[in-house]
Amino acid sequence: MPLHTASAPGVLFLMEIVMPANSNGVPKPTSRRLELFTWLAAFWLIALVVPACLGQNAAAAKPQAVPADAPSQEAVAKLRMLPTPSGVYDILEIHPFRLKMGYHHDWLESRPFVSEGLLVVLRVDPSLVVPRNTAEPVLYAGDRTVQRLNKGNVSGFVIGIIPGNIDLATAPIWFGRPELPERVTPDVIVAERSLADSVAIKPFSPEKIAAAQRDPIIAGDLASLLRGPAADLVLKYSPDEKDLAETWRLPSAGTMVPR
Amino acid sequence: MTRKGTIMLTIAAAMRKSAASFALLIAFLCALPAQAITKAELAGHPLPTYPFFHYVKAVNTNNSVHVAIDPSRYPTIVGQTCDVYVVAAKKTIGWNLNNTLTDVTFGGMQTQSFVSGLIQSNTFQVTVPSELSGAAGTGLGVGYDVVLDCNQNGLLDGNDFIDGRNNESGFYIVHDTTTPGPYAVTELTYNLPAAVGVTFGIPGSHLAQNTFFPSNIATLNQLPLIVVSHGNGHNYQWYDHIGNHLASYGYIVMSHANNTGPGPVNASTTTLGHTDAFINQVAAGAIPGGAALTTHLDADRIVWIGHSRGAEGVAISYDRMVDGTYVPVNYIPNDIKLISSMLPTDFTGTAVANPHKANFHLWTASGDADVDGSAGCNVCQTYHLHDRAEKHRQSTTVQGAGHGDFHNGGGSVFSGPCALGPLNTHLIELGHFLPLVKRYVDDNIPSVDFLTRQYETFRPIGAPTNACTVVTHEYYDGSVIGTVVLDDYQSQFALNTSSSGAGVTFTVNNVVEGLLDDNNGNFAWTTTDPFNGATQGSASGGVYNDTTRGVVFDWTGTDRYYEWAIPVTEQNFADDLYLSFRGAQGTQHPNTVAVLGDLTFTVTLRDSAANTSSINIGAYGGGLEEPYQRLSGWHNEMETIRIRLTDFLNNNSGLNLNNIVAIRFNVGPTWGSPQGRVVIDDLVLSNDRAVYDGADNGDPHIRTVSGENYDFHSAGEFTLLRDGDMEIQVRQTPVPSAGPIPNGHTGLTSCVSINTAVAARVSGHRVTYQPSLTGDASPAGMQVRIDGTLVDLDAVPSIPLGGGARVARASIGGGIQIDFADGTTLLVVPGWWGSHNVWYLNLSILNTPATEGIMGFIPPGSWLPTLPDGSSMGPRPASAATRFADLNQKFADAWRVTNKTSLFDYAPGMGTEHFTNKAWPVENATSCTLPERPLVKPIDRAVAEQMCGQIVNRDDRANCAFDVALTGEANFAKTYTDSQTLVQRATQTEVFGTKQASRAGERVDFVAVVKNKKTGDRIAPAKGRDTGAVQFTLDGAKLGKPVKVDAFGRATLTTSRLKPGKHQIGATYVPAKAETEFLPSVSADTLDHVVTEGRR
Repeated sequence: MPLHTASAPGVLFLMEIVMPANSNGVPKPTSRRLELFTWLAAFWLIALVVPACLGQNAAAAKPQAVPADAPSQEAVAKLRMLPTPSGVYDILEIHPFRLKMGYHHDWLESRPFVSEGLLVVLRVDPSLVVPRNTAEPVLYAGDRTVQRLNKGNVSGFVIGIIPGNIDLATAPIWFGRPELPERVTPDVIVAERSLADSVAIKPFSPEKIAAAQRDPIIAGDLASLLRGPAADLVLKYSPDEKDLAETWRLPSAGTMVPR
Repeated sequence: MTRKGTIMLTIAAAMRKSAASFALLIAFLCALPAQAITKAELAGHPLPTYPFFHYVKAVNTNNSVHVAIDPSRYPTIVGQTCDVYVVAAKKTIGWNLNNTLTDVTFGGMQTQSFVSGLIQSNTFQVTVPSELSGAAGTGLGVGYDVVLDCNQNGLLDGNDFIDGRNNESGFYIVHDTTTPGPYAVTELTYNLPAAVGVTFGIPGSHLAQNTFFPSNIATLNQLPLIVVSHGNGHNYQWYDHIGNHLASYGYIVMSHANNTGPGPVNASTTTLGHTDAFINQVAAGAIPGGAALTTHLDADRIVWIGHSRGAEGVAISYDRMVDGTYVPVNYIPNDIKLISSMLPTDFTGTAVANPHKANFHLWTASGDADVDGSAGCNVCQTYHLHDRAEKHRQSTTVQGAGHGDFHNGGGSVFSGPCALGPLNTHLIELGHFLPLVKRYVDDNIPSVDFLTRQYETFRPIGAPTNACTVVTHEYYDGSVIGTVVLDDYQSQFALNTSSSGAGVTFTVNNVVEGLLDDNNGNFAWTTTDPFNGATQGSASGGVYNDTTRGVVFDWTGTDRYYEWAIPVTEQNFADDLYLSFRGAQGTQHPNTVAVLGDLTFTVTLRDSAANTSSINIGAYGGGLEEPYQRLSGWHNEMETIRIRLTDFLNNNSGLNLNNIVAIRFNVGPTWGSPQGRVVIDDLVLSNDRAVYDGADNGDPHIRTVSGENYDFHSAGEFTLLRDGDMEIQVRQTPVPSAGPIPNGHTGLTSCVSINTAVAARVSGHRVTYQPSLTGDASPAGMQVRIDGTLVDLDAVPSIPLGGGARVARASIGGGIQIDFADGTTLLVVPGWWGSHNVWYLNLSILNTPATEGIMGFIPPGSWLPTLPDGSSMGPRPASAATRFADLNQKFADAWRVTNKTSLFDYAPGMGTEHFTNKAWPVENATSCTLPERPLVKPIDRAVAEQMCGQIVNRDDRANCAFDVALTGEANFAKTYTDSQTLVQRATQTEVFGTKQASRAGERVDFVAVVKNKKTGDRIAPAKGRDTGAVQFTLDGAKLGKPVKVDAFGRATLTTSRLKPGKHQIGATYVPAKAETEFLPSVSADTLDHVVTEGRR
C-alpha cells in the first residue's frame, strides 16, 4: 500500500514496501513498515513543532505565509538518509557472460576493463532504487560495484552486471551509502564492506547461488549482451521498463566517416 | 576644440617631429557628411509612472504599440507636425535604395503635433492588438520601423526621426513562442553502431538517439544542432516536447541516452561523444531514415541542453574541452553557442562543473523535490553553475515547478505550494527555449526581451499567468565592449568601497558583504547567517571554492539609502544602454515576511552638478518577487533589474549622463516598500551590443566574425569588414607554393595568395598600410599613410583620428594597431618573405560590431558570408566546380573594391585593377608556380608543426603549419606567434581627470586605467605583484614620475603644479620587467585640461 499522499511528496520513496524477509540481513517487512510510519510521524512532528519553537522562524510568526503542503527541508533531508547498508532481498538469476569485445566498467573510479562477468537479477527494496539525481545508494557485490541496468523502483527487480570473476557464495551484495559510483575507490568499498559486515549482511547461501545459476552467455559486445539476454530479463522481471529493452533493440545506424 | 582641430594639431606636432610633409594638414580639411535623420527609440508602451514610457523591441501580437518621444531629449521635435509611419523594417541598405514611406497600419499613417513639456503629451497609440502581423515563419517576430516624417513628404529624409534602419528594426511583433513552428517534424529513434560508440567513447549501454528535424529538410539550408542530455532515472525519449517544438522552427534536435548512473562525469562523456558521433553519422548518411540530414547539419552552431545530472554533465563537457582532456573530432568549443542546464546538480564543484566562457542559461524549479536547492546540500544548489559562467549568463526560475515537470515522462517530483504541473511548465519551458536558442544561435534581436523583461508584463503569449505563476530572469550581458562593472563585490571586501574602487555610503541597516551562500543547514534568518537563503556559491572546501559575493541590507519603516560613488574613469554613462543589477528579497527575514509581495525601491542617478533623476524598479512592472514559500523557506531567487539609462532623462530631468557621480538606491516608505531585506549584486552598465573577433592570417585563412574558418585565395582588393562608415579593405596577392592546399570548409584545393596591404576608413579618414604606392616591397618596412600622407609611427607612436579612434604602432611585431570609434581594433603583424621580396600581413580584428565583408557573418543556411546587397550565398554546392565559381567569381567579385570605393593609395596612373588577377587561383591546378618567382622549398610538415606548436588555437596552429610547410617560409610561424601574443596581451590605456578645468595651484587628479585590449578587463595584479607603471605626459612631455598600477588597474597622479593654459594629458603604460602577461600601451585620445590664472 502506498504510504505517501499527494500533500507529502517528500515521502514518495516510502512506498510499496511489502517484501518477504530473508536471511540476508534484510529487516522484516512488518518492522520495516512500522519503522517507516515512525519516520513519517517524526518528520511531520519536526515540520510542525520545530518552526513553532523557533522564535525567529518567519513561518511560525506568520503562519498564513507558510502553506502546510510540504515536509520541511529538514524532513526532506532526513528522508534522503536511506537506511544503508541494506542487503538485497533475493537473487533470482545469474548468467555468467563473456564478451568478444570488452568495455570499461564506468561504475568505479578506476574504470576497469571488463570482458566477462555476471548478469544478475536481484530483488531489492524499491525505496533504495528510486531514481534521483542527488546521490543514490551504491549497489556493491564483494569488492566491486554493480552496474545497474534498469531502475527497478516499480518492479522491485534490478538487473545488473557484476564485472569480472566473483564467487557470490562468498561475496555479499548490498546497498551502501549514497554516492556516485564513478567516485567509488577501493578504499570506499572497504569502508562500505565494513559497515555491511557490522549489520551482518551476509552472502547468499551456496545453495541459493547454485539455484540461480544459468547457462553461460557469449556475446560480441556489451550492446549485444543488452540487446539479447539483458533485454529478455528486463521484459521478464521489470515489464514496466519495456521501453528500456526496446531501446537496446533499436535498429543501428550504419557507416563511419573516416576520421 | 573640435575633433578635427585636435587631429590637425596632433598631426602637425607629429610632422614637426618627423619633418614630414606639410601637405598632410590639407588632407584633414575634408569634413564628414552631416547626418540629418535622427535615430531614436520610439516604439513601446506607456507607463503609469515615471519614466512614463517603456521602449521595447518585442511586442506580442496581442498587444498594441505606442510611439513616444521626449521633447526635452529631442527639442527639435517641439512645434512640429509630423506624419507617424509604421513601416515594414528595412536595413540601412534598403533605406538607401528606397526611402519611400509606406505605412502598414489599418488607417495608414497618422499626423501628430509634438509639443513641449512631457513625454506623456507626446505619446500616441499607433496600432491596436493583433493589427500587425507577427507571422515570422521560423523567426521570432516581424520587424517594423517607426518614422516621424516631419517634413511630411512621404520620404525618410531631412530632419525625420526613425526607430530602426540599421540591422535592428524599430520593434518586432512576436508570435506565440509556445506554439509549434511552421515545419512538420520527422522523428527518428535508433541506436548508434557499437563500433561508432567505441570510436567516440560512448558505452554500449547508451547508444540510443532520438532525433527530430523538419520533414522538408532537403529543401532547407544547413540547420543548427541541439543536443539534449537527460538526467538520472530519466529517458532520452522524454524530451520530445523540446524536440518537436524546436525542430518545427528549423533546428535539428538529438536527444541521446545518457550515462548518468555512474555520475555526471560519465554523463559528460556521453554528451561529448554523442555530439561527435551524430555529426559523423550525419555526414556519412548513416542515420537510419535520416539520409536527408546529410548535407543539412550546421555543426558550427551547437546547443547543449541538459537535465539534472545531465545538466551538470553539459557544463563538465565544456570544461573538458577547455582544459583539453577531451578533444572532439567534429567540433570545437567555439561551436557550442549555448549551454542550457535544467535543474543541474553540482557534484563536481567549482573547477569542473564550470561553463567558463560559454554562453550559459540555467533553469531552476523552485518546487524541485530532487535537486531541491536546500541549504545544507551543495550538490542540490542549481545556481552554482550560473554564477561560475564568465560570459553571457542568464537564469530562469520557475516557482511551482517540480523536477520532473521539465521532461514529459511523468512524475513532477515536486514539493511546495502553487503546483504548476508539467503542462504549464512546458509552456513556460518551450516559450522561452525558442527565444533563448535564437538569441545565441541566430543572434536574434527581439529574443532578448523574453530573457530580460519582467514576466508580469512580457512573456510568451501562451505561457500561464495567474497569481500563482511566478517566473524570474537573471541576465548578465557578458559583452566585452560596453559592460562596465561598477560593483560585483568580488575584489574589494570593505563595506565602504566598491569593486571598481570608489566609495560606498549607506544609511540602510545591517549591511554585510559576503559569499552568496547560506552558512548553515537551514534557510532561517539569523544575525549570524546574514546570507540566509543564498545558494549562488559555496566555499565549503573540497571541490567547492566559489567566490561569488554580494551585499545584504534592510530597512524598517524609515527612508534609507545605499549609494555607490562612480569612479572618475567610469562617469560617462552616455555610451551605455542599461543600468543593470540583480537582487532578491531576503528569505524568511522578518521584513520580508511582514510585507509579502513584490518589493520595490527607487534608483537615483546624480550628476556632477547635483542633478538627480529617479526611477522606481517597479515602474516597468513587478519588482523583486516574493520568495517561494516552501515550508521552512527556500532559496533566494535573484532577478535582474534593467533600467534604460536614457529613461532617466525624460521630462527634462536635467541629468547629464556624461558625468554621473553617484547611483543611489533609495529605500523606504517614500521610495517603495516601507520595509524590506534584500541581497544585491552585479551593479553594471551594459549596452547589449554584440561584438565579434575575426582573423585573416597567412595565405589567407579567414576566421569570420561568426567563428567559421575558410580559405579565400582570390587575387585583388576586397572589403574585409564594414559597418556603416567604418570599413577595412585588404589586398590579396598571388604567391607560389609547393602545391595547392585543401580547405575543409570550402572543400576546395587551391593555390594561394597572401595579404600584402590593408586600408581602412577610420572616423572619416583613410589609413593605409602598404609596402609602397606601387606595391613594390622593400625590407626596410611597410608604409603608413593617413589620407594619403606618409606618417612616421616611430616618431609619433599614436595618432588620434577623432572619436577615440587612432592609428598607432603595435606593441610588438613591428606592425600597426588601428582603433576605430566603434570599438573595433585592427592589429596587423607584417612578415618579410625575403626569398620572394614581399611583405605578408596577419590581421586580427577584436571587438567589432561589423558583420559585412569577406570576414563577415555567415548567416544560417549559407556557406559564405552575406553578399554586399544582403543576399545569401545559400548552402554549399555539392559540385566542386560550382563551389569554385561561387567562391572565386560570384563571391569574390561581389566584394571587390572599385577605384571609386577603394581606400588604398596608388601611384599615379595606377588603381585597383593593377592588383587584380581574376584568373587566380586557377581551377583544378596541380602546381602553384608564378612567372618570375622562385620555386618554394617546402618545409617538412612535422618540422612546421613543431615551429607552430605554441599557437593555442587549433585552427590557427594547423593553418600556421600548412603555411610554413607549403611556402617553405619559416617566418610565417613568427607572425602567427606575434599575432597570438598581441591578441592575448595587448592593453589599452585610458586617461581621465577629476575635473576638466582648474585654477593654477589647484590640486588635480589624473587617473589612467589599463585594460586588456581583448577582454576589456582592467589588469588586476595578484597581491604583491608589480604589474608596472603609468607615465603621465603633459603636452607630450613627461609629467612626474611613473605611477604604479594599483589593484584596480589604475594609476593616479595628483598635481597642483600645472601652469595656466590649455594642456593635453596623456598616459603610457609600461609593464614591469618581470611582467609577461601584458604589453605596453599609450592612451589614444589625450585629455584636454584648461588651467586658468589665480588660486582659489
